Amino acid sequence: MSTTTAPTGLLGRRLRLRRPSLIAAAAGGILVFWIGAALLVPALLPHSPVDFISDDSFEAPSARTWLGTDYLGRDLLARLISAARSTLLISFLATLGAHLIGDTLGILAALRGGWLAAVLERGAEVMLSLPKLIVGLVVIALVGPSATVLVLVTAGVYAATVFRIARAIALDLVTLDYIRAARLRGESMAWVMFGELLPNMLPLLAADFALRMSFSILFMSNLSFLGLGVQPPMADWGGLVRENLEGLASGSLASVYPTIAIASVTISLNLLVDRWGSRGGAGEMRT
Amino acid sequence: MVEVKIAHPFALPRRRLLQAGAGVGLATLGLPAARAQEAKPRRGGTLRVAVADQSNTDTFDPTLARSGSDYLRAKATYNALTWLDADSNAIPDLAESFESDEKAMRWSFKLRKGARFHDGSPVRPADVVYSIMRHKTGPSLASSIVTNISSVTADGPDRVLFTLASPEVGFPLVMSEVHMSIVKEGTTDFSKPIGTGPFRIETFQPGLRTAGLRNPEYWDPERPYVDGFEIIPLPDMQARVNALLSGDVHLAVNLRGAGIDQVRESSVAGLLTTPTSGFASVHMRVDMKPSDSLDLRLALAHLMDRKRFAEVVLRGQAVLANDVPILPTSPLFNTELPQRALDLDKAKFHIRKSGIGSTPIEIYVTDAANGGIDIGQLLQREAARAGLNVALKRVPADGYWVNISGMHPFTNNQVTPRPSDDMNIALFWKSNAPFNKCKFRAEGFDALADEARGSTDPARRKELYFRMQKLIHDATPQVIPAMQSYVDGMANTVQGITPVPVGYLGGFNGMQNAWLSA
Amino acid sequence: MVRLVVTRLTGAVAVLLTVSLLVFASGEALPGDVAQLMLGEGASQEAVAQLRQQLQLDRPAPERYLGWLGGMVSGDWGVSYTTRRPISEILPPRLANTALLTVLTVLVAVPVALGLGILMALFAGGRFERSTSVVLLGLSAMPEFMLATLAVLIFAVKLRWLPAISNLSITDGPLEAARALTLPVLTLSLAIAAQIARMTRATLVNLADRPFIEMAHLKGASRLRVILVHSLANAIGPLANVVTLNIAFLISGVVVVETIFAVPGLAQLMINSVSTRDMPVIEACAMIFCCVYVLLLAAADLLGTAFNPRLRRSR
Repeated sequence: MSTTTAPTGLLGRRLRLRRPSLIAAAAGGILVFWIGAALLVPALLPHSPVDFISDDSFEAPSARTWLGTDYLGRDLLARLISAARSTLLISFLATLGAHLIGDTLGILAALRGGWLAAVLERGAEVMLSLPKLIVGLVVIALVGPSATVLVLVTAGVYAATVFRIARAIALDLVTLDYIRAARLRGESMAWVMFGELLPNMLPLLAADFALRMSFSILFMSNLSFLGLGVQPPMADWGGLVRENLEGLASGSLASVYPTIAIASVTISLNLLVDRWGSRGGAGEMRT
Repeated sequence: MVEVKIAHPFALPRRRLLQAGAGVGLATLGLPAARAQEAKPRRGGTLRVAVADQSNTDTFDPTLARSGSDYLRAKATYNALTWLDADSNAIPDLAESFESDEKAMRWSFKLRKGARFHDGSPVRPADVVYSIMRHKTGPSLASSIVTNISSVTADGPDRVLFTLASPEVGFPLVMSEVHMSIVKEGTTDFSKPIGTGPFRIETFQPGLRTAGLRNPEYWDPERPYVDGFEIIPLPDMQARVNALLSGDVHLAVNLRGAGIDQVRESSVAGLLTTPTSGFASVHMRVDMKPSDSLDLRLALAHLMDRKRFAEVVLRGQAVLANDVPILPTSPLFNTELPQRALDLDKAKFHIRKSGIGSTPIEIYVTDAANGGIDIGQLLQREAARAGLNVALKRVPADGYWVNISGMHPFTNNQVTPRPSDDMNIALFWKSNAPFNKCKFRAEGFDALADEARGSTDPARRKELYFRMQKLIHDATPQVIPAMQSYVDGMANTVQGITPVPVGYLGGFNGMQNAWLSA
Repeated sequence: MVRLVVTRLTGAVAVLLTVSLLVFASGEALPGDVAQLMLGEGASQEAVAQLRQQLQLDRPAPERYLGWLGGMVSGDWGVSYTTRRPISEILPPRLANTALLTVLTVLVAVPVALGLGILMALFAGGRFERSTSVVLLGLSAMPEFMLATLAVLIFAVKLRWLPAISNLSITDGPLEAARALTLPVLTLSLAIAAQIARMTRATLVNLADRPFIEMAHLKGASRLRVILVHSLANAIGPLANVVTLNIAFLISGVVVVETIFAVPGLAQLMINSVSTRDMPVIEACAMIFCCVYVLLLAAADLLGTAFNPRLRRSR
């Protein structure tokens, strides 16, 4: 059984188990806001995200449109909040898929070694080397451009990266005494993988999960530029940035708001994961 | 251009600039007011042009020229037999005169005395024959332009004779087309191009840069004024604008959206606007369900918010169109046709009549058409208000024209301007036209087109064109919201480039007319 | 040791072959071929067929693939379908540009990011660490085209410190070239520095709880020694992995920068060639990228094993 000791920083300082900090609360609040917005949206918006409100593109914020209008004269706030749902949902599912596949295979490869690991590693290299543009175009041509396909493509591509990260972390742990002890005890593979290794990898994997969600939002916007994913007139956050980018040089902040949205989710998610990690949620490896 | 008087009985009527606007952004010649016209061009300087295409497939081969920068390169290096003035009349270029028989079926072009290729060899009829026949015998992007030519032969030491399959009064206009550039007989390798044009090519690195120096032996003793030019590819539009505004380039072609505003408001540069008969549209297969329903097509035509498209999306750099392919400022434009506008009541009426109900219709939209996606979004929004369920399918530009355009009931289309309306009709609207993707057919249309093409009577031509447009308008195979202008950014130090409605930068030919005032 | 190298080499070749086959198959799966695309939509069937014949595209797919493969193996990279120029002529300048961009970015971003990550781990929980974390996260969350556009707007247009375009062929001299490359390198660096820094921090912080670190403290090792010798050495495995993976993603991200800054590089060449279905060029680019990935990933594994004595012993 493991005992829990207060974690220490590298300098030997003892980090106290903090009471919920202001930062964590703010981060959590931001996430709750976006999730709530994504769920409750349509009913509350004064304008539809696809209506043409103004005859000018990039109109400045006013009482009528709190964030101004986009390049076609549509309410930016409405578009921003409508895009939250698709952006968050797709990136979450894709990252989840990537981790489910990648973590499992990564730990497996680290434990078993041998030809299985070799095949998995080479497979991951193939996935990583394939040009993403070609993958995207082929997928659109063969399976169509729906959002489901986008989730699967993103999950597949990132699974290879997660696989390598998980494998490296697991390799580091796999030679530790307590793991050897578990194997000598005759514990099943599944137990060793999910009961011993995974819990100790969680903080690092969680750190990757949080950052990867934001990467997948950006990856998504590249693919949606090709036509894969959210179809016009709806857009995801990355798409909103792209379609309004031209206004930046004239001083319009239309592309900045969705950027801030992406950044706020990224920052909040990652800060929360940091908090959780440093509280000793890592579990201990005392034997 | 040096004007040479031609005793030509069939010169096409000059186009008038209509003062009454059917709408917004009426074509002006686009010269910024701040620019005072200096009397005498100054010599010297190197003209730097930022273009939008950066591709390994940049070429000097006239059979393969496809991008704007290819055309720019071609006009710098080569001449065609004729060129165009600002009113789209054919004027002499490599040919110093041209004439036809009364039926406009046999055309004789007299080659300019003293015109030489960059290597010194004189231009002979055999060169012209070779250049034109390449499009007929080999694979060429311009093969559809030369279909009316039955034969082209040398006629004496300095004349070329074209025999056409059917009468074409505007044939000299066809010969002004950039693909009809004249190369030396026997050329197959275009990596070090030799032409008769105003510049000699010094450097050609496809996808990297092209540089040329003034041709001192050019047959026009005045031109070019600049010592040389450089073409720099900058595919990102904002990058082109930045390069122009920071003085790194003199010209930035093909501006859109907010880039237009930035240059317009700048103190170091202005806009060069070229109204053209080019456009983006939605074309609708008249032989496929559900686009075969005339009512559905008319409904979409009345759901198109043309004003918003022209004013907001195109920043006013457009002329409102009426679903026919003739520029509203042309004398051939049928002014009797009611101008269509956004009209929800009419749309609802046609939707009901079509019986489409709540069945969704899919429109394929793409970036490959300039403003195509926005046309789709505008249509969809208004359609929703009228009770028509429109779903947009966004597809990559990759392979769009070959795989998607015209293959489904509703798809984006884009037409680039041609030197003559006859060419447009022959390429896009006749029943056997190679680009008639909507499969538009109308009783008697082909006969009208053929007669117009050969008609020497301007009044009769106008009448025929009016009737053709009515047929198109009644059938509405395409929703054409606006004719789009080319918009280029031009530094204030650049003078001499005037719009020619077949391309940007003076119909791609502006570099030889340009001079730098500082 | 020899066995290891041989195994990895065989593996690398297997990966290259698989990727080349998949890329070729993708070309077949994508609608439209090079002849159709070159001649455009109005081309007649005969013209397209004629061009196909000229380019030898009328041979069956397996024959074309094997022909290409045979050529590659014997050193002949083939000729571009669209321009008829030998690929050995087209590729090197493009490769040089992309390599320059990538190498410069790595030289700039990796040390800075590692250093930042170490600092953040040292001061974990403090104000410095938290604010740096937030800034890094914000930067990494920005789309690359946004970063690039902002960088150009601020440094090139408003401040006029740096040129807006990085077309190296029009710069003279190394100083000009360096100025021209500053913004693209900066943009790319920001994109990868965040993850490297954060993973460094996370790895080192996680290590801090390990028994051997406490042991080192108890043994009286100085703090510096603890970090440099004990922690870092153990962190190299996962860290090398994260760094090399980021370099790999850098290579895929470089295309955005190449487009916005007009750097005529390999990534942009590949994109062009995909849209024209110029298969020999696509394959050539894909093979180069693949080689680079495979080498990087092998290096990551090697570093990980080398610095983890337990792994060395147990394998």
